[in-house]
Amino acid sequence: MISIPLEHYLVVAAVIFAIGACGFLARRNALVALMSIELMLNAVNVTLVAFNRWHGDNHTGQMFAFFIIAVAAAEAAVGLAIVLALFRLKKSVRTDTADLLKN
Amino acid sequence: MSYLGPASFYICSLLAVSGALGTVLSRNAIRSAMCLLATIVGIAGLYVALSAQLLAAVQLIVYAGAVVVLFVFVIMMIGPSGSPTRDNRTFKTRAAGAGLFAAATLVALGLVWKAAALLNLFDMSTLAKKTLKGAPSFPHVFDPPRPDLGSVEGLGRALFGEGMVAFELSGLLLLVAIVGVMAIARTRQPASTKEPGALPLAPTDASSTEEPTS
Amino acid sequence: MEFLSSLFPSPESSFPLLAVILGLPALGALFNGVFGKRLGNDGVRLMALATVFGSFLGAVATFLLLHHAGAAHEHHVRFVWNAWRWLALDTTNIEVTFSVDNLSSVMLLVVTGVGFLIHVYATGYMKEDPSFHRFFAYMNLFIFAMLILVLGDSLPIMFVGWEGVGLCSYLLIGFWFEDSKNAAAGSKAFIANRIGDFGLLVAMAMILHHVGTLSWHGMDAQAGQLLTNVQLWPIGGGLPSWMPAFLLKPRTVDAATLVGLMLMLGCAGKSAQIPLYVWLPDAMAGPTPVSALIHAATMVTAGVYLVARMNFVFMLSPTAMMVVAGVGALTALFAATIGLVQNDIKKVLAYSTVSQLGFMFMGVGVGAFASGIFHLVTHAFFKAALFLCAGCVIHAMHARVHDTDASQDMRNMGGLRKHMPRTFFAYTAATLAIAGFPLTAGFFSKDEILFRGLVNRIEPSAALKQLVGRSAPKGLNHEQLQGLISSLTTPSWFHKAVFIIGLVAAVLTAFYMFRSWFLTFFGDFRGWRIVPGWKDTGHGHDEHEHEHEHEHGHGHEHEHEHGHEHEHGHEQETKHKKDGPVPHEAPDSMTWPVVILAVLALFAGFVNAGSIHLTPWFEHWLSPVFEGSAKMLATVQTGEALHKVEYGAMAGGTLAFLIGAGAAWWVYRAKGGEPARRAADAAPGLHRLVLDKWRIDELYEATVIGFLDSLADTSAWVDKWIVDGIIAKLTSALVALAGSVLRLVQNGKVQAYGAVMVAGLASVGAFFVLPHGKVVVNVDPKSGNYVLHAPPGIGYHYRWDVDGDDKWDGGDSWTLRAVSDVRPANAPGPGESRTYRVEVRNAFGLTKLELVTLTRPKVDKSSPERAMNDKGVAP
Repeated sequence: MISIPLEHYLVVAAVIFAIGACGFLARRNALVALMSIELMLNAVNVTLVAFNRWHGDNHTGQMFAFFIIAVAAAEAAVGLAIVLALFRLKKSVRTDTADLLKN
Repeated sequence: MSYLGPASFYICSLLAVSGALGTVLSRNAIRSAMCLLATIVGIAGLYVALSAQLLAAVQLIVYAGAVVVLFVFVIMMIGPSGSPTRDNRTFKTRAAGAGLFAAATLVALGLVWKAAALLNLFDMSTLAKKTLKGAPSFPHVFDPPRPDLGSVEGLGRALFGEGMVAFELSGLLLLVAIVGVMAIARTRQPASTKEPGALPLAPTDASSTEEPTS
Repeated sequence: MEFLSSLFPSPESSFPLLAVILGLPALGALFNGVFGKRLGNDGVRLMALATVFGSFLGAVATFLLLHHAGAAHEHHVRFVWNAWRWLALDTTNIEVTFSVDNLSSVMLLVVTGVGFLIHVYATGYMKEDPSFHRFFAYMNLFIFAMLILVLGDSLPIMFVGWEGVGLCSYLLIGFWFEDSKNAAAGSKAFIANRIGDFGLLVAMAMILHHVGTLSWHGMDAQAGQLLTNVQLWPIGGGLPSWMPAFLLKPRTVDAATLVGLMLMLGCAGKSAQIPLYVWLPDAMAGPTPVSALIHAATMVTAGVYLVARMNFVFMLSPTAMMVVAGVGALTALFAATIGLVQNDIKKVLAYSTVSQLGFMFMGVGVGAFASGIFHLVTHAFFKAALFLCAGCVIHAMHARVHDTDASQDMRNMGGLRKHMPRTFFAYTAATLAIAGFPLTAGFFSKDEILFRGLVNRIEPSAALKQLVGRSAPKGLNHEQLQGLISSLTTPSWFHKAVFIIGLVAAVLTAFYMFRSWFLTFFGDFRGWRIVPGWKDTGHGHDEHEHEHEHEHGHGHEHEHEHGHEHEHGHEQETKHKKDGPVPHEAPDSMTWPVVILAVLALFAGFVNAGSIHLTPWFEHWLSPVFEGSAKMLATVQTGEALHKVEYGAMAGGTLAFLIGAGAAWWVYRAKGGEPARRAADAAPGLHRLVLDKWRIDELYEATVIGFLDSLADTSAWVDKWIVDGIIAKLTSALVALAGSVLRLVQNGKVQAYGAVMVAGLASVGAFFVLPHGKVVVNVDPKSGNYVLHAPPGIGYHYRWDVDGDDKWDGGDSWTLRAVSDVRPANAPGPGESRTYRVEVRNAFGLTKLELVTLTRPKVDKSSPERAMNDKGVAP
């Protein structure tokens, strides 16, 4: 039986993480930035689950991934609320409009 | 049958990566959200391949069912006016950013390619070989999974055993998040200035949007 | 007595009663300071009086126990209480230890006893003051600090108390700090004392260096170590050679003299001697009980106590002793002349205090330590009584005169004898005592000093011969020490001069004291027109309400202004006199302490009345403390001849009293002050000069203060134009530049911060991507071979060249072998060095070549471990 080795999963995860990081850095839309963060979190989850598959005698990696999903859900909710507040304040969800601290 | 595993991996990976690219590159926020959904589904497939069935289900329920829907809900609520249609960065900035990104990508790809070649990751013939775990040999080929890995019972026992405290804390975290979201997203308009029936979140007039600054 | 003894079975090693004596006033200070406002005046009064009275009882018990123990053994008894260790030094430890011996028990009784009486007095005097609790917090704190000073078993602990009383003095002089004049007086006292403290610190450091210990008994036993020469540079060593020669050449002084002089500088600051006396007259700005307690009875006598305490050091240096006695004599005379013409009753008493302190220094300076301390005690009684009487008088004056200066001006007083009988009695008794009326306390103590000044000779040679070999400094042979010792003695002309100056000062003392007595209590009242039954309508009887009807500047300006007037203020007579009530006697809480002190002033002398053939109990009591010093003293006559000189001195003292008092009577009573006016008219310049206190303040102003001011101006200029103008500008420009660069990064955009994060991650990633080849060389403990360890890593492959043939071992193939040992055949021989190679390739295919050079040391027996240390790693 041909099975896919650990490294392939890691490469996929790294690619998704890099895409998410670039998206977070490059996009000015706060909503897309939040989505990019979700991408990065998911990529990390993939590595965790893959390593858990390699060390198959416990569930630590999957447990970790589970908690990350919970945190990500909370983060998405709070992040979206902040985006809403920002939108109400600036009538825009562009992140570069949120520069009140600068002045 | 023996190629089903690799095929499902490549399909799911392709779905996830292309979805990620779509999320980041799409101009339209709704399209981004849909691409994110694709990524999430792909990653759920990877979870299944990695014998994390429960996690795959959770992934679909939480992300596809809740988070993405929430995104879409917010996008709809804000409407097209909030999403920037035009990028006001100069051409130079964009060119510099793109160049930098391209260079970094090339370096990273080169490194990965070289590493993959060195580690024989592309040699499909080695993939069938069972190697001893722990020995410094590449690639790392998985053992046959134990049946309880990733099952509801296995993960459930782990979560409510050693992960009990963390599990309870994550419940607390979610509660705090709910309260926090309500505190942040609530509009604090004086009752007198608020028109009856006006949507509290809709940026219909100037006073409602400028209110939090005062 | 048995009961007391049973409480403290071994007081010479542990005597915790001292903790109680010390702790009570500290407790009072804490309570009054922290909770005083809430306690209310009654609570504060109870707290303040109870704590000090408790201390007094403890002091009495201590005294009785000491007496008991001293009666049993005829040696120097010390009761010790060790609190904790303060500092552990290389050579010695500084313990927080308190001890009481015969000398400190006397001081203890004076401080707590007189302190208690003055506390009682102050409860009446300060009754109306809004800061009642603050006052008593300071007063209790002062008692606490003074007790530390007196009970401290070593110089550093005493110094803590020394500074503590200085602080309390400052706080209490400036107690009414709303008036900037008072605050300035406090600062002046503080600064003058700092100059003295400098001397004390230098002395401490020198003693620590030469003697090695700072505790009393340790220094007593080892003081001979100070008989060594030290070199003294005018400015300091290591000056450039182009400086004038006299600045480059060190003077040779013996350490004992230097330590003595430095101690004396400290004492001069604390005890208001020339040249640092100037703060004490100004210190009268504080409330009168403060003047009585701190600036007459206790704190200012600390210098005398210190000289007596350090007698073993002073006795080693007749030079230092001569300075002490000379400074004392000059101060006694000098201050007395100023006291002659002052009009402010407190100023008269202040200069009198300076003068009497001079007497004390005269006493201790001629080796009559017991006499000096005795005068300290009697002075505490009569000067406290005088100040408290002055306070009563001022209290009475405040019924109608609210200005501080005017209420203390004797030209506004007069005839108070009829109105204030108790105060009059006390003032009379204390005046007789200070002026030396036969058989009063001051008569005995002052005569003792004058007599000792005449007959004592400090000749340490006889006793010092015993020191040879015991605690004499090392490096001095017998002959050198003999030579050093034989030079130590005081000349006889000096003693005669001291005696004569003292006698003249005694005449002046009698004169100015009786002058103040006559001006205050005799003649007609000059303050206001007395209207019996007069009721105050405008002003409440608020004694500390500072109404500055005429705004005066500083004290001396005020004096200056009055200097044009004659002794009896025409100003007041020409002005329309106000109506006022009959001057009233002070309340009982104020008069009783005064009366007790006055009685003590009259009769306390009999405890040391050796001159009239009573047993000089006081001198015997203190003799164990000064035992060693007594051996270095000689008298010019002995036996009957000595007694004859004593009678002569006594007659001289009595004569001085008669002359001074008679002159005062003639000038101010018989002639109504006319001769004084005529004398002032005859020599107006001199009169002005004396009235202005010889313009010493102005001299200091022009020299020391002027110098410091110009120094400060220069510093300010440098600070403004160099530090601020150039250095600070440069710094701020640099910071602004850095800010403008960093502002680009700190732009408030989340994504920019994210980019920085990614950059950090990238650098961490680069660390993992790049190969690492740092080789660790170990030695196999069994075979003694070198073993090279290349770093491990994921996907790392290695190839080695350890056989020295410049080719990779085993062809060009890569292995996973991270460890390679060098065979003995390929290892470097002794003194040789060889280079080995290793190449590392990581999972990304990046390689790194590493060269390792091993050198074996030449020495045969050297172990391979040594070689390890000498290995060099070349890139």
